[in-house]
Amino acid sequence: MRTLGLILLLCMVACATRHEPPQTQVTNPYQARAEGLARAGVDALGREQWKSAQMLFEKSLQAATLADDERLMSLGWYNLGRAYAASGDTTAARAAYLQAMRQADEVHDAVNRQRAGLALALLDERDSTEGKVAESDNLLEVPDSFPIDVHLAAARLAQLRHQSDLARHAYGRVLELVGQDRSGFIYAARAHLGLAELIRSKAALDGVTENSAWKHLNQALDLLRRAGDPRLMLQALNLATEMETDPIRRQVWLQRASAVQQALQKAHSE
Amino acid sequence: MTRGNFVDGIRRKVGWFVMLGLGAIVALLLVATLRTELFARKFTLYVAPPSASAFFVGQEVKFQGFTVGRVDDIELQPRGEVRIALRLLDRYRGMLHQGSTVQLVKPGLLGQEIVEVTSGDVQTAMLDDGAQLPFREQATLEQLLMDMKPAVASADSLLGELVQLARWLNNPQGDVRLATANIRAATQGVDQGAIQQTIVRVSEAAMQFERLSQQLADNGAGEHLAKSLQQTAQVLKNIVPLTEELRRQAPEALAQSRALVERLDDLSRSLNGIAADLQQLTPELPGLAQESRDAMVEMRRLAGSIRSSWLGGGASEAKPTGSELVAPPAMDVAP
Repeated sequence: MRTLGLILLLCMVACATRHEPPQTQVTNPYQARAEGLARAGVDALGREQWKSAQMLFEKSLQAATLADDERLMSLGWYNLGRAYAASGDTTAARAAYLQAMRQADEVHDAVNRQRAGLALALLDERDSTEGKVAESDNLLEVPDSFPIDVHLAAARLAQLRHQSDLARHAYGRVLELVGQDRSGFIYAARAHLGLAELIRSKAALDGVTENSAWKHLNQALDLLRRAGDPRLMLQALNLATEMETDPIRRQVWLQRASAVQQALQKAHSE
Repeated sequence: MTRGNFVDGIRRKVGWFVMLGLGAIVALLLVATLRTELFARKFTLYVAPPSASAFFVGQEVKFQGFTVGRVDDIELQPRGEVRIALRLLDRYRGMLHQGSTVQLVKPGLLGQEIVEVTSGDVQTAMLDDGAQLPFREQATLEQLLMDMKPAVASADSLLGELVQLARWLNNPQGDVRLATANIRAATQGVDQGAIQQTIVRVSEAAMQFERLSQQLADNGAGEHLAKSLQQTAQVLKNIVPLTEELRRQAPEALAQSRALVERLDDLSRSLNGIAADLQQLTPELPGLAQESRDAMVEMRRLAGSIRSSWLGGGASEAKPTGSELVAPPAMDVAP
């Protein structure tokens, strides 16, 4: 009995000593600032304020450098590249993506490596400069554990390269990963829109109806009405105009698309 | 004394009087010309502003607050461009270098604008006679106020909410303070790393808000925002106190803390927008907004960790997408 009690006591002592004391968490102000500025930059990018986004990402990168956080620096270069690309400066965007890839390599950050690589490949596709990213085919194979934006970029690249199966799989993964917040709704809308485009182009080739394409498009429109993203809404309305066969309803879609486009132009000129 | 001598004397006196008068006039002219630099060596610079409406001939040209010349001529070129000649004293030429610019400066709210020339890059050569300088447009106070109005208006209400939130946090009888005390009491002697971390985060966030509150008080923002404070206080009253829920550990606690997280999410998003707007307008203003946003982010993190902590039930039903630091990929929708 005494031995049993001793063993029990020893076990308890072992458990108590194995338990690590709680670590005090300290906030690095530079890291917090870099993250805060990156968040603000993403927000500005969403509102199509390219210059503002650029400035915020530059400051975020500066704060990440002061924090000596190479992962954040790599992410900063990628974000900066996105702001440059959105404002039309593709040369600066390319340089920023390459820097993001180099920095990601240094810290073995596979996620940001692939993120920046995909962004570069998408830029090449947009500019029709084939073969600029030699290894870009590997970019389409995204591990399931990677974040949602990497899957979406891979889906878009696969779609542009007419690799429908890969694109469908990646869009599906995006829909699995979306959260119940505004950003999640917009990612889901993008995925539904991509799927609608995929099905529509396949249906056009096979000469079949586009019912499931309409289903995805309506889902995208519904999500966009809830989350609000006029530029993406315009893309969805344009797709609806292209897909609609009834001339009267087609005219309605067209009017709605024109109204959104005009409102967007007016908002930009103000 | 003969009559002839008397006339000669008068003549001499008149002569002296005239001579002295002429001499005085010449001396005055000399002094005046010396003071006005009439005969000083000068050189000309040209500038082509978009409009000549704020310029006039004889307008002072200043450098570092000193008058170094005047506007000499204003003419409209055959192609409709404005060309203004600035006549500057040659002795200041050595101070003006390549890269020098011309701008209109208003010394105060009232009064005429003055033309100011900048020194340029002192490492480069000095300006040649007849050089054309670029004109730098400066936003007028009216323009700046007009541009800032919407951003300031929204900042007004949000900073008001923040002030209220700061007071709410700093109140010793406040919910978060009590919640912290309750957590501390509940976890005394219990080795719960996550809870301890949460307490540390509460303290850090409270400190950040104290700093923010002080900053707002220093800037007189508290008084200025009194009206919006009253309106926004109502919003914060909707956040049901965490204390009781935490004490009771009832299932509603999770729902209420979720409401707090959602409210903080909204505030944080709005602050992001305002900070971006302010950043675009002036470089000085966003500091405060950035501080507020950082504090808000910290609060959101804290509220999130309370929600998912041991006392909050450790569950999180509304899964976030978690992509807020990353710019979304291009989808051929950007112009």
